[in-house]
Amino acid sequence: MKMSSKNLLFHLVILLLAGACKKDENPAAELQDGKSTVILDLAGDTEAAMSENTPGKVKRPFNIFLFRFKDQKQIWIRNAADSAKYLKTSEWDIAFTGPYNSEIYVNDKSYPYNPGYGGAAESAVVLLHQAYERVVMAPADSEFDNSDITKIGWAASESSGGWFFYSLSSHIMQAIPNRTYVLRLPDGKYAKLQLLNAYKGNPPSVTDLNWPAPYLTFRYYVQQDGSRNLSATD
Amino acid sequence: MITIHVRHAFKWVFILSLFSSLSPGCSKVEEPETEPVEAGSAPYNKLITVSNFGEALPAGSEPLDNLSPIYFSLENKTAAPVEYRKTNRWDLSFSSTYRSFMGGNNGTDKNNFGADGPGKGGILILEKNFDEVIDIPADDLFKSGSALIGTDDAGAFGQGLGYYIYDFDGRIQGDGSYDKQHVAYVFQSNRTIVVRTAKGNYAKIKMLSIYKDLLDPATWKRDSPHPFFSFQYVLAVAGSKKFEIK
Repeated sequence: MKMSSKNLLFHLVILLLAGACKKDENPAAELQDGKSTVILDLAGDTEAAMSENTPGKVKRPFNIFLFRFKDQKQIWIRNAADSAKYLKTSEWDIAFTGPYNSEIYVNDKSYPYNPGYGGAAESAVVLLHQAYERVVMAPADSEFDNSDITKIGWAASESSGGWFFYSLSSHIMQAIPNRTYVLRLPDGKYAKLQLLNAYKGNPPSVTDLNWPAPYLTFRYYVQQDGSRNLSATD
Repeated sequence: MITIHVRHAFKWVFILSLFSSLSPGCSKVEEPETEPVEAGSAPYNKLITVSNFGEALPAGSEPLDNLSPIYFSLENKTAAPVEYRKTNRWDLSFSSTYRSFMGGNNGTDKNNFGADGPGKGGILILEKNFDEVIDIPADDLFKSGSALIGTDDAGAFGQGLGYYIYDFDGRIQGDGSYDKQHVAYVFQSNRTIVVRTAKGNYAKIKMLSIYKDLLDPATWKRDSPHPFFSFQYVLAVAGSKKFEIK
């Protein structure tokens, strides 16, 4: 019984990796759908580490960076002056915070741990358990209003709202499939967002703890006409 | 090319078998240590205190390891063995990192440890003191998954509103010294967990500590024995609108 379930798992893993292998040949092209913006390997704070003795890195908190959807502008927050200049403004849509810039906040003034706390922007996030391309409609506003997703980061379990699993024993940070985040942006527009990887090159899986990171790969689509239509294919 | 992927796969399987090999070591402690308890033996409307529920983690466990869950019956005030997983004889699961993530028992949620069982429970957390939680929340507010409530966004690896702060660097609540790093600070106020039990009754819970015999946050250190959960709760019978202590 135990063996057979292990065998099943083994074959599943093979299948998954084989499937990922095909995509591997041109990850960016695979992610393009005609309308979405694909960001491949955006360098985060590559000099920081969670612990001592990480080659080429120093143990310190990760600098956060902000990102603006409309022109892909990356804004670094390295000191108090940067914080004062940017955090409470509407010049950014999402913030990459926490370990390896892996915890993403959508600019919002009402939540104390949001980098935009006390600022100008209001937003909300809903997690849909669907593949990115299958998300074609933003949910009702009541779902945004009732959502308790405060940030998009580590997932403690399948039931969590985060985008990745992580285990120190396997040294793997792994994006969870079929998790698409629908955002209600400060200007009222709807968007969908998929986080794919924090490892350089968007590899399907990593076994080397020192694989270059964080290099964020993600894609998003903002519906500019204000409607709920999130279909990003022509 | 294929060999490389096979090697990856082996590693995954190896890791997973390692994980499953940990489980038998836990079975000893997952058996209830006390004599079987009569169903429904914990009284309604009384303050019930639980001290040090849990068991030592397997040797060599890392903080983020996904550990085998343990189960607790609020209605019986006792641990429930893993064999009861698909019954309504437990109300709370403790799993994931440090086994510190809590969930209810719900048979309809495939991500619940009680999936396909009779449990009709759920869980939620409020940013309120225990005494201030009087009204029982509406049933549709309870969440049905497992490992739902744990780290708070005030600390590292936060999962929204949680019942403890994970102080990775030891600088949020401590002085940054070695002993105060990686401490889990349970909110002893301003957080209340509300559970719908597997049988449809209700409980409100005040978490106190995850450190064995240590309830004072000043005494919590990275190596203090954990996770051993101490908490207080009050049960209310199904259909109640309010929590009361009589």
